Amino acid sequence: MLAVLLGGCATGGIQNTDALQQAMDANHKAAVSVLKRANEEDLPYRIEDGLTRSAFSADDLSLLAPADIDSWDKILGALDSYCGALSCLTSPKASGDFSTACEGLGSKVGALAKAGGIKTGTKVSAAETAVTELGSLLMRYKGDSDARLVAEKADPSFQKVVGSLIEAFGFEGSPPAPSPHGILATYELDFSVGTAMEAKKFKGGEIEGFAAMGDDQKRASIRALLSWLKVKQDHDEFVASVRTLVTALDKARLAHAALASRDAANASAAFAQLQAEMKNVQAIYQQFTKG
Amino acid sequence: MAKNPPGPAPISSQQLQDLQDGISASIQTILKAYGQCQDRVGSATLLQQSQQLAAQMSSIETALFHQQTVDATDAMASAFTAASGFTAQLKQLADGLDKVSDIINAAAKLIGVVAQIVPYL
Repeated sequence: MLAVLLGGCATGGIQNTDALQQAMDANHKAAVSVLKRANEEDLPYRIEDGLTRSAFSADDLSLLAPADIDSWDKILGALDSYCGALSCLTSPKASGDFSTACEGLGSKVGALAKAGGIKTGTKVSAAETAVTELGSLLMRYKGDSDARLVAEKADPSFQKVVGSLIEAFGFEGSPPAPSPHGILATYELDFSVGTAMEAKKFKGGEIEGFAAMGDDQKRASIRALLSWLKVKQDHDEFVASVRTLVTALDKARLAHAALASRDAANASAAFAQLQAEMKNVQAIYQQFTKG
Repeated sequence: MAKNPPGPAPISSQQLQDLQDGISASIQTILKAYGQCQDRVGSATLLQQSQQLAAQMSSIETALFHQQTVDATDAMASAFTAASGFTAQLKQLADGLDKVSDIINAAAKLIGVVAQIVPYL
């Protein structure tokens, strides 16, 4: 009976760490694609803004600096490797897998240190430091098979990295609520201002003064309404994807905390919620990378 | 021995976030006024002001995402104080959207003080 219970716990542990690894892999891919998409979505408003400037350079094309997006890509890649190593700890596979996973994380952390352009004392450098701490923790507990002990020690760093990214997207608290600052708020304002004329012209989805128009003017107005609706739909899809991603990041944060807490019931509920979000996050990546 | 004058105080992420919060609320007030404004000249002014503030908001976001530590001079500190005053004024004016000229005046002052901050980011 005891063996069955222990076996059950071990299986649960494997499933949980595997689920966390898969979720963080999906979150990583989706986060980078959403950050890149934010720049694409914002581009029309950057161009309009450029008309009012006396000079314009490549730096003015992006809301988010590509080097900063690249830094987050590396940070989240290292977090994937950490989750991979955690998964190896609970796996019945050879312990060599864990060593390989640790070495993989070590080289990713090394690559982070080499990446230039990050100033100390910044949120990004704080996230990098947190990831480096995860690497050293794994190396310290290399001979230990208790994944939960590692998760417990690693939890503050894990929370710091994921929390920083959630904040950068412009969300606060748990469950995350949108704030008036950050990426989403800035994009929303750019959209509202950039489309204010259309929003006024097509208030409530109706064409203002339609009855008084000639046929050519009616055709042109209907076409303008159609393109406005398409722009609005793209906007709504992007906003929904940011919200979904942030929800999934929050669930990953809660699942890791639950894994660290040794509360089996809490962990079971947290991982069920995490897995429920995974399909949505995978869909974001597929949506933004197709074509 | 004479003491060195104190160095410029760094602008924190929190200050940048607060400024974004103020600009965000201000743009919403201006857009609300634009949506209701029937006067052509007033509408054009409000739209232009919202565009200028949105551009400033984007510049702040680029810096915030990069999380640079930026230095503030005394002039910068007073610009922050002035910006807070104008964003608060615009928030109050949101209730009285009939006073379009007041909104335009406060928005023009806000754009001016934020313009002093943005080059330092």
